[in-house]
Amino acid sequence: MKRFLFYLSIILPFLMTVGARADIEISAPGQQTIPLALTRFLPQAGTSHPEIAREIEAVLTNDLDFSGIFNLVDPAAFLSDAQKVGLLSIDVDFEQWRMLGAESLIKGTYAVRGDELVVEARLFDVQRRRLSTGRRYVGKVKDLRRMAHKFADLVLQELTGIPGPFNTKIAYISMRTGKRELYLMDSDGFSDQRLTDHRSIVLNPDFTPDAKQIVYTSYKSGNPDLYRQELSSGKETILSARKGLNVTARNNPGGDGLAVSLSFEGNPEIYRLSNSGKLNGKLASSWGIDINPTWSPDGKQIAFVSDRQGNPNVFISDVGSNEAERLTHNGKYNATPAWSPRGDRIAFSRMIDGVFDIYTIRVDGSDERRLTFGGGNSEHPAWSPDGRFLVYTSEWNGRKSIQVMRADGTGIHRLSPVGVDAQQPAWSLRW
Amino acid sequence: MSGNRYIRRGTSPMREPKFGRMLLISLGLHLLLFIIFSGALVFNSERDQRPVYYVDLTQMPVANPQAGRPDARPKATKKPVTKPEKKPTVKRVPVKPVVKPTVKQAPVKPDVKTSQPQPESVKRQVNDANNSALQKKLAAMQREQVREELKQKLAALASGDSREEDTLAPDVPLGEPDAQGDEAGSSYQTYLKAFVTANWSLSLSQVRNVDAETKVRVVYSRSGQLVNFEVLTSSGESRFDDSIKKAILKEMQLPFEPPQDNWTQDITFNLKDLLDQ
Repeated sequence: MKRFLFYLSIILPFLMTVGARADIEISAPGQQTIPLALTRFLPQAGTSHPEIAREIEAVLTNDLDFSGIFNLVDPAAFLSDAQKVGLLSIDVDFEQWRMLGAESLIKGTYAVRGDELVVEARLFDVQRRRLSTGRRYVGKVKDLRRMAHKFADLVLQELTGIPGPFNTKIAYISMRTGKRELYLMDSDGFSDQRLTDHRSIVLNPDFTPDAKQIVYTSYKSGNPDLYRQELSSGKETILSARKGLNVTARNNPGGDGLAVSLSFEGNPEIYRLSNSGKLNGKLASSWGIDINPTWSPDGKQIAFVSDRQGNPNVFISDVGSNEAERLTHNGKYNATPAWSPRGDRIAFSRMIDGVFDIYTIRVDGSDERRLTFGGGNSEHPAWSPDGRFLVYTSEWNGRKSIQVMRADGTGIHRLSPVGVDAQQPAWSLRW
Repeated sequence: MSGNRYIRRGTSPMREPKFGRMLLISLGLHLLLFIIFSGALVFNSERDQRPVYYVDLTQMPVANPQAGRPDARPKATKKPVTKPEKKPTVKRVPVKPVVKPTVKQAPVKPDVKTSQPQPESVKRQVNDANNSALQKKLAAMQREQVREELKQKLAALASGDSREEDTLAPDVPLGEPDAQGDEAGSSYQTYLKAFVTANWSLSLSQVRNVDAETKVRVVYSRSGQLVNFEVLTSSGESRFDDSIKKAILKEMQLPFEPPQDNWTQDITFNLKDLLDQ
């Protein structure tokens, strides 16, 4: 008996192994994008306005395609359901869309009554044959692009958990009047408008977290002073007109004041200002120049540029500690840092052989990645509010323009109007 | 007290002849088995560099795959017609040179193979009074054919078919790396893996935790129909789990017949390969 048990103890593991079923391991999806069908919006009632349908489609296509998350199904392959107005799940022929390989489907309608526009947009889950999300937008015809951007944001929120950044604004500096003035445009480069008429030099725009105001530096009175403008009314106030530099202001993400580089004591240092412009102490100081602060999303740290160890490099310091840790160790000139809203990475520009390129690095100094390669200077990176994209200044043949790319450096394209000098972009939060 | 009792009765296991040695052997074997099946003998670097096979889903799986690779190009069967036809004509018929020069002298290189105009008809056309017109027509046809071939090649490139040429292993038999069978084809498991992978679409931006891992169990009937599907362990990431459910439910009918009824497979989904990139 003992002998039997002994042999059994030896043989049993073999038997168990032979009987076991080997698992299959799949360690990457076949497609890293979501197959999405975007149909042209159809008139709900009354007369057809093909130009409205085309524009909604164009905005949605541009936004969703640029997100890099979707693989848009070719509209040429669409079948009869694309021509059906029905927006209820029971009205949609999901089998047609399943045959085309679509996992998500966008359908919508519009109705125009005078100057009023009503847009109904729906996102369907093709496989589950159900409505994922939908919205009804009511506004003026001129709000058409905004409605489409809002729905694109909603689609991203539904499918990824984080809303898109398309219904936002980008502020930038342009010299189209011969002087550097502040301008504002949509996140896709449309609806361009001028905000200042200082006929001087305006620099370093930055939005307040509520996106209702914008701060910037202007030489309007001869000195680089700090201004704030209310976007709805255009009302402008001086925030800091201290002696020397009042530059590179960045609003605290929690709305609690701002960090700015001031040189009224002689050497440019980083100070904290209240929302009314009152000094609230130093955030960084050294014998060298401290400039270009950027806040961590929780407002507990700042990154900034300092030449305290010789060449300009990016440093990080805890708010209130005044002790800084060097972040960048490569290259001889690292500047214009921008902390990702997700908190994990910092974008900055680095000059090598006289040319700036955009890089990102983890906040612990690891995993440095170069995002732009040649083609002139690339600097002043600024993150989209969701951390998916970066906007930056590109200089090519002496002409500056605003470019945008995904956070991994793909999908680069120009945002600012053709032939217009544009630089120093800042991306607002939700509009 | 109790210890003495055992000794007195003479039934102590310690007194069994050679028991200690046998126990050591047993323990040693168990340890060896544990080491072998835990994969501890395999170096980490090798484990990380798992080979990626692009399984050709048009080649159905087999029960006893031969040694090879599932991404190997299936060997084309040679046409037996060409060889036996050529040999006798070369030996016996002296008129043969008539055929050869006409083919060789054809001006357009790539069309000779594909167009294969019949020599008799060509001769007749050449002797015709409208010789030049016909030649022009023939040349136009040949150009059209070349253009068509180029079009097809471009279409294949655009549609990604060219990947097949790049990824399929040309000089290896179609099979499985460690298999010992005698059938050309991948195993059922390898095929199922490729089939489900092709249906799995997920953007990295949909995932918060890149270490997400989900294990599911699928059961297919003898006809290849999905009869049961359950999530064994969830990743806790709803969008990750959802994408897996979609991948499984997208095609509920397998394109092949499983080896048995109620064919049960456990599949683990994770993003390890994406993280390596």
